[in-house]
Amino acid sequence: MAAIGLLNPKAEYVRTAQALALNITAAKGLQDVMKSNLGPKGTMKMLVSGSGDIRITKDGNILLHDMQIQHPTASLIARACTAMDDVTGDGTTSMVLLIAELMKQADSYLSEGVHPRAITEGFKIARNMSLELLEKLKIPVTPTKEALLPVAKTSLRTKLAPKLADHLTDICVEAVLSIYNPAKPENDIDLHMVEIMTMQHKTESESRLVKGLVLDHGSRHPNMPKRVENAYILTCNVSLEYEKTEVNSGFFYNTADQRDKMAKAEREFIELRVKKIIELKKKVCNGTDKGFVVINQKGIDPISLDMLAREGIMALRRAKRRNMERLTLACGGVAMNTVDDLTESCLGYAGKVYEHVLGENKYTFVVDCAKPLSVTILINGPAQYAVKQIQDAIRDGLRSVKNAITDGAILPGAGATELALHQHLLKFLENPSSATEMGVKGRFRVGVKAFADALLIIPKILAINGGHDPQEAITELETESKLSGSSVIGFDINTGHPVNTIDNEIIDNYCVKRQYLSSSNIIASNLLLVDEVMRAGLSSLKQ
Amino acid sequence: MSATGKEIITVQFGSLPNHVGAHYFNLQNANFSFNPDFPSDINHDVLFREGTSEAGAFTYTPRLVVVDFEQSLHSLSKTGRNFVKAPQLEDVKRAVQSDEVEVLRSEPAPEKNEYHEDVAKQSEAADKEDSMDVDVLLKTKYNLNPNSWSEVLTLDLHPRSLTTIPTQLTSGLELAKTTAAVGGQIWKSPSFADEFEDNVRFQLESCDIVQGFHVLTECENMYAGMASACLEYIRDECGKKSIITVPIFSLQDYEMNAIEGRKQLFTSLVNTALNFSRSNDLSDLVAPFSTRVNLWTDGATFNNFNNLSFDGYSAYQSSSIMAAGLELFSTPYRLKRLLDVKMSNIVALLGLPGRKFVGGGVVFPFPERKIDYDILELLKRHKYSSLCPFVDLENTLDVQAVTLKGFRHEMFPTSPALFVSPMNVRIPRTFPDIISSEHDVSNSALYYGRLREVTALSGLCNSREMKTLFETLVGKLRAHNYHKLPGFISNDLEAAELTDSLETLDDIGASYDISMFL
Repeated sequence: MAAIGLLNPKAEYVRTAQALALNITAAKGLQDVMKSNLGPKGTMKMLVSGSGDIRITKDGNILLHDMQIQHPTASLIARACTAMDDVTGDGTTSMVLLIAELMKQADSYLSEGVHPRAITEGFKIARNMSLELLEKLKIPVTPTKEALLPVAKTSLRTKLAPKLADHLTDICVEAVLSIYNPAKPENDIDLHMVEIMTMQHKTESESRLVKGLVLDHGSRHPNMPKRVENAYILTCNVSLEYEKTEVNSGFFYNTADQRDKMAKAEREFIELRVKKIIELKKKVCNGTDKGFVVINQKGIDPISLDMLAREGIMALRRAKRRNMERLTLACGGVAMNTVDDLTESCLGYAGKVYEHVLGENKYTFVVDCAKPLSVTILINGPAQYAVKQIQDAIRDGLRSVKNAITDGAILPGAGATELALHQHLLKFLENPSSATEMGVKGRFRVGVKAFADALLIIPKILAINGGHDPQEAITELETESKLSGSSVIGFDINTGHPVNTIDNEIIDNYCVKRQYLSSSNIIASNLLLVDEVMRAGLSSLKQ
Repeated sequence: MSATGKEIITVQFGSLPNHVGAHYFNLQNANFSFNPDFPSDINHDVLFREGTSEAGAFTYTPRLVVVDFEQSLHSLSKTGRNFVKAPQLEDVKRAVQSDEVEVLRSEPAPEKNEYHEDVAKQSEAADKEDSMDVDVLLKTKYNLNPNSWSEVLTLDLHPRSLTTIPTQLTSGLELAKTTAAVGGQIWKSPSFADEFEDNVRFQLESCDIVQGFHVLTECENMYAGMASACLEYIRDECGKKSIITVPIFSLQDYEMNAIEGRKQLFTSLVNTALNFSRSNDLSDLVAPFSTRVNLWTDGATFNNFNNLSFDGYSAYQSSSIMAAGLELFSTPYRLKRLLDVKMSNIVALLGLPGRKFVGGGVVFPFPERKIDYDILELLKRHKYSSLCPFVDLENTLDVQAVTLKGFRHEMFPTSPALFVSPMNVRIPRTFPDIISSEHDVSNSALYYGRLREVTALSGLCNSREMKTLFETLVGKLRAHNYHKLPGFISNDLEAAELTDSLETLDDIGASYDISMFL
């Protein structure tokens, strides 16, 4: 009887073999759910909520989030895997599969009486060797469009229908390259500078990259110009809205007349601000063919809008906070917090600013900028769920391109890396010196073996999802890889035969692989070492 | 787009405030009059926005931002409508250009309640060619037992009104035990913050000049922290707009004996204290709501509101009374007759120095049909039932803003603190059956949609009795040795922060002292 049973008779607990079984079942269960997602031939999932909302996805991360997992072990695995996605933007499904496979492989040894510790130690050795080998396997890339296209393509094809994916590939790479600034320290790429804007059309039209900014609102005055060319852009964060006086408790005025006067003074104060903007417009635009656009983070009231409209100024109010930064990156200029000392140098420039109306939504395009360091991906889709699906995929695509640039390297995809690691580990075990020189004692070898075998789950599942026989595929792969001695042999999902992945442009991220190899090992080891699971105190694990 | 520029945006945090909000907007919905002979005296554009739906239809939806758990929306879909059918699989396949789509159903579709079944029948009947007066199908009242606030709604929301807290941020949380710090963290996570900010901006953008905000929040759990952060955001973005915050207390009891119960009580107290002191800094008026007379003790005593018979523990029933209160308190700045009255006037009227906390009192329904005495006599004869715990509002009301509905305003002298509207309060169909029928004054001759109607009186009062609320809160907190409570300290609430807010609360309490009032 477990000690907790003495202290708390209500506690539920399971021990040793049972506890292990509990964990392994959970991992296997997750694997079953997720395995059909892997690769370009994985099936699309439609999640239907009770209220009739649907979500279309193939992304393991989204599925794990939306599946409301109850089993404690499963939710532990799920959380670790989604954390992985937060860091690298990909690899959730692979990680779930690998964790479960590691546990499955370990299970067969455990049932033969091997101590879990021996296996986890073996895992640790295998992981360290794998990570070392990854360094050798990785292929350096330069941040050029040609080199990055395969990376984005591989990522997007696993999330979307092929035709759509190919269309978006170019967009993702272009977007990241436009905001990429090699001069910046640490190759820091801020993906926030790629705005993703969605539009829902009844008739389908294609998504595209806008080299500039698309704002999700328009001018709110009927007489304002809807289209301005050669536009100066004033980005500011100044309230142009009449607000009640600061002091309202009646101490500072005695009569209604006095109060009116104060209100009027306040009104004039706002008017003065507007006049200053108009003054600047006159100074820079008069006598030229240039236009003037004001984009304000704060409000602009109808009277101020009217004054601006009369001068032919297009004014947008309540811009997103983040857009203020994007605007200055896209158009140049400085975001102003006051209108007191406005000069021409504060202004940005855009070739075209125009409004686009779609149903009740207005969009403002700020385009034709000289050298935009912030761009917008405009997603068009026939329905909300389709838009959302593309949005998720694009986010992952952008991340994969960013990863490739920051890593400066890539790895072969389609199971090639896993296969190469598998072969390497087996070779190591065969080598008689491994036992003595490397200090891998006999009993840890099973762990290394289990790890090596578990890695093959990736090409196996790829084969299954492609409608091929997994055993046949693996055998063929192993032979081909041994014969050629190449480390870039992967599984071609269309033909079911081995293929050179680099030539076929199937590329994975280095950091994703690295992360998933080390994290899955840790999670699996921890779960294997659990010998008691108890539940006490919490009345329910649900909230 | 209204030309008046008096829009109000409502922000609701948590299920109970959403319940109140659902009843509140139902009350508005019931007030719409399509009969030109009986125009409503309420300017509906204050609370509602015109728009077009995806399908191009005209929509009139509340200027509202709802915050709740994803799973609490229950029957309400992200499109803002109740009981939506999922799209056909074939359509989905075409839209995503994929031949194979696997359907995963996370939970069965919730069952429709009696009201929604009748609505479905009605719309079916309306589709038929030879449809008669279809309104006949709907009953005047439905006493529901809803699973969620969404089932109570009689109107559609705008899809941009819904901000759900993603499940991954809430998994494993037990709402009643969450702290304000947890709320603050959720607020900061980009998957929540971006959506919320976008939704508020969307509502703001569709206003000419916002006059202010109603912020309804649960104040005893993590929503306390979220609401504080939200107030900060609004202040930052919209400067000096009026903000009325309504902290709403939980209806549930604590188990006073168990350790768990005591811990939970302490959590509630701390969250409330933090919420109160932040609200005091950032809002213009704060009106705490509860149907309970006392809080934080064994056994609940619910106010009986003179004429109502209701189950206080039921969120559906309790929230309906709070909603009626809010409807009355917010009437003055929504009246068509008084275009110049804005929220800021009420704030100026009630805000005594240092005293932003006000108590709301109602006489709902108003028991008499005729008034043949003056307003002072009226207030003397009909004492308010208080919506503010610990404060009885019977005497010593230093300032008050009075709303009277169902009587002609010519009967009373004009006063900047008295707002009379000839319209009765029209009770929506899904309002619980807690009003005895003798108070129903609906007149079939004036019929424009069969609904219950009552007259009502309310007052938002700055009373020196508010002191009791603060004294109790601070006293209970001081009785705990909060320096030694690891749960809070680890969730990055500094003991100093709590000490600070206790001092703020002390100050607020002191400003309600009689000697402070000249």
